[in-house]
Amino acid sequence: MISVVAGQMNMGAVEFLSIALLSIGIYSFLASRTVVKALISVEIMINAGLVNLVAASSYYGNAEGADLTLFILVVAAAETVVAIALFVAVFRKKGSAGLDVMKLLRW
Amino acid sequence: MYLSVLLTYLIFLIPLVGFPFVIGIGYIKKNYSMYLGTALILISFIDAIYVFFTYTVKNVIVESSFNWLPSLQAPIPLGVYGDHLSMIMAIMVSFVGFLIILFSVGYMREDPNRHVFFGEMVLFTASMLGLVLSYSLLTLFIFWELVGLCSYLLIGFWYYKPNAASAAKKAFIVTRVGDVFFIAGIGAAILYSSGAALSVTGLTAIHATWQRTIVSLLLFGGAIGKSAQFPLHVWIPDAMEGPTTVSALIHAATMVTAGVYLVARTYTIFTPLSLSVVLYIGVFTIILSGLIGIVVNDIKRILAYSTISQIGYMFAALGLGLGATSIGLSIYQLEAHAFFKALLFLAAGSVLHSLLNVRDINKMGGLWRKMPVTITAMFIGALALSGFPYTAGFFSKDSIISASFSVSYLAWALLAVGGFLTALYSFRMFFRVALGKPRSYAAEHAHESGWIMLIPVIILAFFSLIFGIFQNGFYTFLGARTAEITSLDAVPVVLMLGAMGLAYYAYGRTSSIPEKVANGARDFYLLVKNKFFIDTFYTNVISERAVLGFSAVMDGFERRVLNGFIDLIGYFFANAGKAVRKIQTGLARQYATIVLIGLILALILLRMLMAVGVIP
Repeated sequence: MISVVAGQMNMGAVEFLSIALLSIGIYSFLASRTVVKALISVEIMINAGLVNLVAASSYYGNAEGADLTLFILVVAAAETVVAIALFVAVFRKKGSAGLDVMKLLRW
Repeated sequence: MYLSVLLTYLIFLIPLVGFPFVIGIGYIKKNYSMYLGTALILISFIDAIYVFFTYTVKNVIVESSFNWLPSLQAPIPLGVYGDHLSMIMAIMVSFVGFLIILFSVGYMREDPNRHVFFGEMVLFTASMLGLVLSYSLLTLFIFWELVGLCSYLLIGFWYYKPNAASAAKKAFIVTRVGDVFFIAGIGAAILYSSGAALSVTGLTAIHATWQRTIVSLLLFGGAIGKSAQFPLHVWIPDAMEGPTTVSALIHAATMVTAGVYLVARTYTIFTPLSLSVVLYIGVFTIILSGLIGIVVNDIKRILAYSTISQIGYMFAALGLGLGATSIGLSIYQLEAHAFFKALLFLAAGSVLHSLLNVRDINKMGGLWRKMPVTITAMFIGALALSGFPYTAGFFSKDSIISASFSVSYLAWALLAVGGFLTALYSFRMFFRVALGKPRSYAAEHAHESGWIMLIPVIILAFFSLIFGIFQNGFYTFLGARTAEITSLDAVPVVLMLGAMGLAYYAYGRTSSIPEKVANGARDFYLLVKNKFFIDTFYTNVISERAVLGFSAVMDGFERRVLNGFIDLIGYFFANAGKAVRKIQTGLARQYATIVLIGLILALILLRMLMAVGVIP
């Protein structure tokens, strides 16, 4: 059990960190051309949210937020595994796994 | 539930529930259908007789009803109502129906679809029994429609004959015109009495005279269609395309009498105005159809026109407005007519069965040597139809003519002339069929029918002869007042005898008189021969011009306007989809950009709402 003392943290700084991470993630996703980079960007965005969650958990003295974070980390990792498996399959089929290559799902 | 109510229900429920079994058992062996169908109607008849003598004779009116849909505000009663009028009708319908079905056992013996035929005959009789025993106008209407359905099915029973198929359609559509009036009348009755008038006993809940006039005239409109009165009489001559036993059932027992029964049942709401409409429609129909009956050559169509004119007498009797006496006169004529018309049709059926369906009376002749029993029966029927003294028609029809004298001289004169015409056409038919030399190969080789067909004919002939002895008891039973005999009663008899003599003079022997008369009054002859152009008017003007024109307009409206509108909606959405789907590029980063824009917009909206104060 983590002992947390309410009111000791600077929530403003944590939120700034969270927003900064999210913005970095969004920018790098929009700028990425390869799927690996896009996946890393998505992970960054997820972690931006998780930082916020852990901080709020600590700030309000409620450990459940921290618990939830662990679950989300695991689920996000599992998603990444699935995504990588799909991309490997696409790479084998098309000889490339660029983000712009995969645009079959269009009008 | 009392035994009386149960027994009254069973009168029409036994054949109604039994008719699918009549058809079904025919798939095992077709003759079983004939026996089962006959047995069902016989049981129904015995039940009706039992209820009649146990309850009705002791002035017990069987009445039972329940509310069909209690959740509705206005009660909708369903149930049975067996008073003197209904029970007399029920006995007549089941008795005559039984005799006709018995005759059919011989007549339809070789038809491959006879199991279906007998099922439909049973349903027909059951519907009519349900109609006369209905407690509410609503159930009466349901059975009324069932009767119409069965008439359609049976007239078109030989559906592979184009004439029969179109005659069935004609019967259905023409009676449907009347049904529209009937259902409008039910609606008006509900409207003017806040639902109370839906039962046959609650009709007095309509108070205002003009409301009674409207409701009664609308109901009479329904009766006109079903009972084949002018102007909706055109279906019945064509309905002769069905098997002859069906014609007998339609004309004698089940269908055309339904309209008379309806008017008699709802007699309390008929105002003097609507009664005079009933009277003059009836009288006019008698003269019209009597004239046509003289020039028609098809034996069954002669009988059909005679039915129209005899039903006219029933309506004329009702229209005299003498209260219970009118009902007594009319229903007595109805019962007498049921006997002698069933007799005439069955005799004609026996003739046609022997002559292989040659229906032209000019191709018959001399049949009294070949088929003595049938022709004797037909003679009795013709006597009773024209009202020869001391036969059924004499007591029923001449009583109506006598009673009309106190109401209207015009009606009396026309009814008496109608009697003259009746005798003329019925004896024209009889003399052409029975006397002279055979005028065709089929007539030369005619033979008497089997006993199964002759027994019903003999029973009906017996009743046609002796039915007069019931007259006084009948009137007393229905609360009618017996008219006193006056010297005027001789007039119809003299006219009738004159017509008989004229018929013999012109048709009973080789004579050129009919041709001379036809040539002398050429225009009038053609007018009558063409049935006063009523059929032509309906076909050429109403059907082809009005109805087809209207349907062409509606067709154009639907194709152009409605279809165009629907197509426009489809066109709009198809093209809107074409325009909007361009944003689906398949590029993940573009989607992400759009999501981002959406996020930013959502945040801006949130700030704005907070600034306004909707969200704290």
